[in-house]
Amino acid sequence: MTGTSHPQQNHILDALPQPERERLFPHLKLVELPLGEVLYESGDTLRHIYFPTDSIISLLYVLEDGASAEIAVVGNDGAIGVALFMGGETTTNRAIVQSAGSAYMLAGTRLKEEFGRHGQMLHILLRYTQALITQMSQTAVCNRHHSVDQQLCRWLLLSLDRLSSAKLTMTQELIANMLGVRREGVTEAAGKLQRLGVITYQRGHITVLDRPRLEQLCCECYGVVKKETDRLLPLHPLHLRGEQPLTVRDAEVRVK
Amino acid sequence: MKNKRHPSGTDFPVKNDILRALLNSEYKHLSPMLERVELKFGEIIYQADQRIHHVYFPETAVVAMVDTVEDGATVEVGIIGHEGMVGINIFLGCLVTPDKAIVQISGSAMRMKTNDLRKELRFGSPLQRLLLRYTQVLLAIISQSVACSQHHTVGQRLARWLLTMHDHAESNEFEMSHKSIAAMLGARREGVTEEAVKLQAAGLIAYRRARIHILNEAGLKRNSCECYRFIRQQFDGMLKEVPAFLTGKPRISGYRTR
Repeated sequence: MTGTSHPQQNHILDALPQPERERLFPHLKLVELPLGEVLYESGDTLRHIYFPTDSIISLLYVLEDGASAEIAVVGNDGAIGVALFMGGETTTNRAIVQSAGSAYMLAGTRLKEEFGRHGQMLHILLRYTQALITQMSQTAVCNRHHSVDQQLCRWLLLSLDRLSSAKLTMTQELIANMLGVRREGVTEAAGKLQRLGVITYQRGHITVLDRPRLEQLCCECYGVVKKETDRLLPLHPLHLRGEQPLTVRDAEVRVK
Repeated sequence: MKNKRHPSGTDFPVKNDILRALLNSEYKHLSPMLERVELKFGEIIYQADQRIHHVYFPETAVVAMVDTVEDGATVEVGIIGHEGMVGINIFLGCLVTPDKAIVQISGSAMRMKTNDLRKELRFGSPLQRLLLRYTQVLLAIISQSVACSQHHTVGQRLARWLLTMHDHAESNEFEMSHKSIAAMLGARREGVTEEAVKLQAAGLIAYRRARIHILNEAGLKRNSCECYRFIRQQFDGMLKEVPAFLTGKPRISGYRTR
């Protein structure tokens, strides 16, 4: 796995202009993320930002009684630790590896230095933050109004998009935790999909057999998130897509 | 849009925490770009997927960000009052917002053209740092609302929502129909009515002619889920850090060791 990883497998790193890649890439450290590893807990002070290549990380909101809800899935489309550049003390989420793989890790101090150079990194991360906000709000409305069957389809599709294969390593219990529903509900929904020939489920491995059918069965929420993610984080420079980048003058900080 | 200039213009001091937190000199520089408007209950200031022309810094007005699905069902994902800004998407580099923004409590707000905001977002400026920190609060609150909508009962969520509105309203009563509360909570109207009747029977609220009166805040807090406290902590934490922002030192505190 390590031998084939490249920073540009991550869309954020790939979107950086050449000079910034040259500056930053030497400081990236490739890390292997095993299934179930917690990158940070709610309340932790963040020290690194992670750019997944072929791993998937779930962001969970954990309630006082320990119940949790998945608020977003992050893979090669994004970064883990966006709170790091926002100036707050800590994060309010738990980040847990949902599908094993690799990620590039960058020290917070390096990221801060990069921001100090007023390059594109901050703008790209801000746009990604918007994509994250869209995913979170869509998850809220989906949880409230759509069936477990539909939620499972959304979850499978979002995860698949962030992986290079059609196979997910995942127990029904974990999925239930992610969706914040009872395990029996997930078993039932997965059983239906299996009977329809859309997925096969064996010993913790889900393989998607019929992706177009999965998309048909899904609520619109997957499409909304995908559209917004594609729009905000394309693989092309901003100016080629007819959208203006945020104009930020490299002026001095005005201090009284 | 039904906005109109507030009769008193910009005479009275600004009541939005983000604008107020700016250095005096910063604020003087921005004030010609700010216009005070009155927002009316029920007014839709952003439609989903439409271009945004203004951002709003609410003062006495309260705005809800609402996410909608195709069949029209909705859920509120963030309440924005005097501590925030409506239109954070612009700050994040977008031209449109995926959410709808609906006025929940009539009142005043300062608005600014999106182009002016873009020009003012210089790297490391106090405005940029305040909005970055505010974005973090918003992220925390949106993620909390995902978990809250999944795990907490309509009764708990109604109490949380009433407390949040009460914090923003200038009095103990505000205009609100069960129908619009149901839309905010993503619950059935009957469910909301049932819970409201319970709160009324317990003497915590009184509900008269589409106006809700808050009678017992402590009692509502006991009925609310933890999420009310969480939302408060996020905003209090941000406001506590404002003096640090005003020193003008770019500071990203995540790097500090504990």
